[in-house]
Amino acid sequence: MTTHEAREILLLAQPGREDGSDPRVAEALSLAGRDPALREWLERQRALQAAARRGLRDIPVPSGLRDKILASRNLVRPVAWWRHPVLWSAAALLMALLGAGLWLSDSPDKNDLDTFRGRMVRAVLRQYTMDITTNDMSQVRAFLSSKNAPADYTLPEKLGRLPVSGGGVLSWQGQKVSMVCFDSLRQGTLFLFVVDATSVGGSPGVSPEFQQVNKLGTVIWNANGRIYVLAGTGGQAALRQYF
Amino acid sequence: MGGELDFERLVDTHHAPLYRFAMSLCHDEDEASELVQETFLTWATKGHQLNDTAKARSWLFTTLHRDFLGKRRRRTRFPHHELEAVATELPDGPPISIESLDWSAVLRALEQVDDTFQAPVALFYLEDYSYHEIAGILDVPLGTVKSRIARGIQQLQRMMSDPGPSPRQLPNPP
Repeated sequence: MTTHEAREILLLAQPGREDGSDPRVAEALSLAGRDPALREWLERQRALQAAARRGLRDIPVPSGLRDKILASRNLVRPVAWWRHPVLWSAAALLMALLGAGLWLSDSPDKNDLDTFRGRMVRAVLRQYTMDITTNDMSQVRAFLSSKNAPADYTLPEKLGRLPVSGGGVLSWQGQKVSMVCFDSLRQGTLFLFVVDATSVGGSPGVSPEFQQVNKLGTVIWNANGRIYVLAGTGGQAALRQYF
Repeated sequence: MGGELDFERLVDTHHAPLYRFAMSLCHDEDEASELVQETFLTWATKGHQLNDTAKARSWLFTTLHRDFLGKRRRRTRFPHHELEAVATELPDGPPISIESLDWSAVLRALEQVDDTFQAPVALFYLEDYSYHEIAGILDVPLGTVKSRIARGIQQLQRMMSDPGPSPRQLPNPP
């Protein structure tokens, strides 16, 4: 074994593991024991390797990261649950109970903006299911259109840059509500709800209005006969970046 | 670990090493935090389908690395280097003050290493992964991993010896 070959082997010996169990490493170490120049090189190598290892393992971790991860998980719902047929009956029962709960908690004459916004937020927090999962917005629009839900929505430019992850259809006052889900790195999933403005008593302004509802920040606005509600974690400040 | 993984325990165990790996890749505190959060969100939606939960750590590192590459849209075509071609470039090791190197100096040095080599070098130092495991996480052949690590170590040591100006401002420790 040449000195050069020994260097090559010792360079790739994993930190703290060059214990001679590998015969080639053992031979290289033996050579280093007899060759002062190689020994000096090896000592520098070990010092550099230790410094690199220590440096990377000392990178400080933001103190709030753990809590952010745990908080964002609360809004995640597996979209593939329907792949387990045994859950169908339980899901049907749950939906029936939820529907009854919603019907009982909001009398039909409560169709104002606050109720609509609150209903949409609750839909997210309680349980939601994307009827379609895709990264293609045109597919989402086609699906919503096929369900007679609003599909001609226009998005604020910055919101439109986020990747879409899917969508679904909800019901409000006998009208279809389109739900479009976006993937935001900072806030996890963002939910956009679109409904015909005639189904909601009162109308928000064209300018977005921010409001915290339960655990979610929300934005509501009116455009072209549609009422839009955008909801997501991170508070109002986080949502302002999209407007 | 067996059976249903407790999400909180998973986060407690892995979020710090994942963040350090992310920092080694993107060198930006915000982006690293986002990558880690996104990785755990992916776990929350898909990871529970993992049959062998003992492989959770590798799954998390693999997913984070894949997300990182996706976000960079694979702008760099990773070259393949045979170890033999690296051999002539192995460092001689100039004398340096190693004791003065803190985490920010090492991270600055790593940032100047070729993108292709940063992930394998980071895994080499951050975790006690075998070459086989690193190859699995990065989805490249074993020989390629070894050659990338060899080249990466060589470049890293050069940068640690002569750091030069930092191309990007590193965040301050919290």
